[in-house]
Amino acid sequence: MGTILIIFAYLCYAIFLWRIVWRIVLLLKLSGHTEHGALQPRKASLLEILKTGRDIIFFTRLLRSNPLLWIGEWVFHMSFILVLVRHLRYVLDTAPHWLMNLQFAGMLAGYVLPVALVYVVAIKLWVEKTRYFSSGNFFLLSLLFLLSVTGLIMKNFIHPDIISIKNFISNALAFRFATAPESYLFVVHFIAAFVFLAYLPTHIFAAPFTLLEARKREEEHGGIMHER
Amino acid sequence: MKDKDTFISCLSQKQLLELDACTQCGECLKRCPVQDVTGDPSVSPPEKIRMFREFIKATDGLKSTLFGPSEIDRKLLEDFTKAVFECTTCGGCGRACPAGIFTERLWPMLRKEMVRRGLGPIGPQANTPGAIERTGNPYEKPTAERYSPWFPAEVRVAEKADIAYYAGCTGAYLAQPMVRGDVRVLSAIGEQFTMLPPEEEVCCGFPLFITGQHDMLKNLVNRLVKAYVDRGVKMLLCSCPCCVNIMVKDWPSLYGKPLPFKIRHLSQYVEDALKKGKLHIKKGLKERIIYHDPCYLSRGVGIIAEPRFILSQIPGIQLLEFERHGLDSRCCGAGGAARKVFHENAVAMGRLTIDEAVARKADKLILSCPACYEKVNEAMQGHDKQIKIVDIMELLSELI
Ligand code: SF4
Ligand code: SF4
Repeated sequence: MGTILIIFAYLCYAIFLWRIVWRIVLLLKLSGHTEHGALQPRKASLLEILKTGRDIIFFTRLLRSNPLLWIGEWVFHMSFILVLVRHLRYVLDTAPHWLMNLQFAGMLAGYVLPVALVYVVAIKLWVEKTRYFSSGNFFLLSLLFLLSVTGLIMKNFIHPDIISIKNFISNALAFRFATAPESYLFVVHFIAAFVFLAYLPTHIFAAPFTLLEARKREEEHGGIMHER
Repeated sequence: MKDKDTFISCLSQKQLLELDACTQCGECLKRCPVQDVTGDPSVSPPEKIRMFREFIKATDGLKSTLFGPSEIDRKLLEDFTKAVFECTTCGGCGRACPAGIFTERLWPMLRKEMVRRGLGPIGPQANTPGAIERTGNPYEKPTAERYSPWFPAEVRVAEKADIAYYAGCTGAYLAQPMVRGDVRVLSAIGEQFTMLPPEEEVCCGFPLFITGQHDMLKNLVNRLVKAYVDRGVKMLLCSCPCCVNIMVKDWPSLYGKPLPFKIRHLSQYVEDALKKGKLHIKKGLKERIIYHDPCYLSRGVGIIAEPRFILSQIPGIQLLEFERHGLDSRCCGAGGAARKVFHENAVAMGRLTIDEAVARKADKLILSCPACYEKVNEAMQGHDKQIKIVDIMELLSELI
């Protein structure tokens, strides 16, 4: 079982890596392509970069267009990051001090995460009665829900052996085969996590760039016809 | 063109990233006029993006790299082509997009790709290059009638001047009260202005650009720029938002260097004239009026305050706003050359604009775009709600 899980994890990781490499290759293929446009490509100013950082961290564009959804999406993303960071202690041999300090916040985020997920889905389906709900997004949200619920059950009700989990993961990271922990919940959690990695939405990598471009465009917009 | 050929050749790096950046969140559907009237998510922005990603995967993905590109379902290609040409290219989706995707630019480039593959444009849009080739305008109207039916006899045009006025094909042939108003106001300001003779004032290129048919663009732009340079022009004025858009955003790259003159929207020039006392509004109007921001004027080039300033100078007027205005304005249905093919959509969108203007108890609906003018007037025919539609310069020319 342990061997199968480790092979599966590496397969998912390979898919993830391939998707990134493939995108870089495609981008390189287009390196000579420029767009029409009087507004020639220019470097972003420090202020634009800072504002984009704010746009990325606080999802300001979503806030502008849909505050009701924004709160759910923002809380969901932030709690997801905290939960991820909290999980580092299962990967690192010795957890640094800052990581230990984050454990409590990470644990709380673990409870908030499924609530935020349900909130997002509820807003879309029942409040906004949205006509469009992409099947890909629905799959990812369900996967995250499964991840968070199995995580919470392991935290509160059916505790797996943490030592064997840590041992399994450190062996997996070192390309060594190891026995899987004797917990079906952990196995489900582990598989869901790696399926998620393989399907990691591409916007995570692309959106910071498009948000920077959008910020530059918005700063330039007033000057298209009003240049001094 | 084979369906197995790459799908990325018309894209820039930025646009490829934009395709990846779409979270499929669906926020854009709420701002999409096509969605308002069709309610069909299969022609929505995230679906177009999803389909195009599939095309790229099929021709440039891992499997295609290792085993050769796979054949794409013809029906999917046709569905995509229809969806991308049904769009009015209003950019409303981009304005709402939390990922900051510049859809106003992305859709025309996806259209260009479909044209390159021989799948687009659709219906009468395909006649545009031929019509422009033969007559200089996309409507295939006689060149001799470009100005004559509407040009006021009292207005004088100089042979050469610092200022030139470009009427544009849609205004000259389909929205004549608008361009008549333009030249009357220009004449009242009193500065000399020039115009190209009808056979020289050819299409600005926008209908070709927006339908993805880019072959003739350079030639048209070079002809126009040279003609204005020969007349000593320092500032080119135009009231059509689509023309202004391509002039300011694309002419320089098509011309190969910065333009030797400035491009200004007519409302900017008129605002300036009002502020400097060169133009006086003599009559008042005790009416409630509502101003519709053309997408390509507000979202396109940021002309939002000027028309409102001009209207606010009319004594007695009460200026109302649509719920969605300025950068958030809703397309009236005339954009993107979609009106030529998806006529019913365009009429339904035009009626949404009319309905809101009537619901807000406006006496007049003020427009500032010849395509809006033509289409919203058409949408009113046979509609149960009626309102007087006036172009901003048409209105002003009656009050000065
Ligand atoms: S550009 Fe306008 S019509 Fe086209 S998809 Fe976007 S919102 Fe809809
Ligand atoms: S709003 Fe932007 S990110 Fe969301 S579905 Fe539309 S195009 Fe994609």
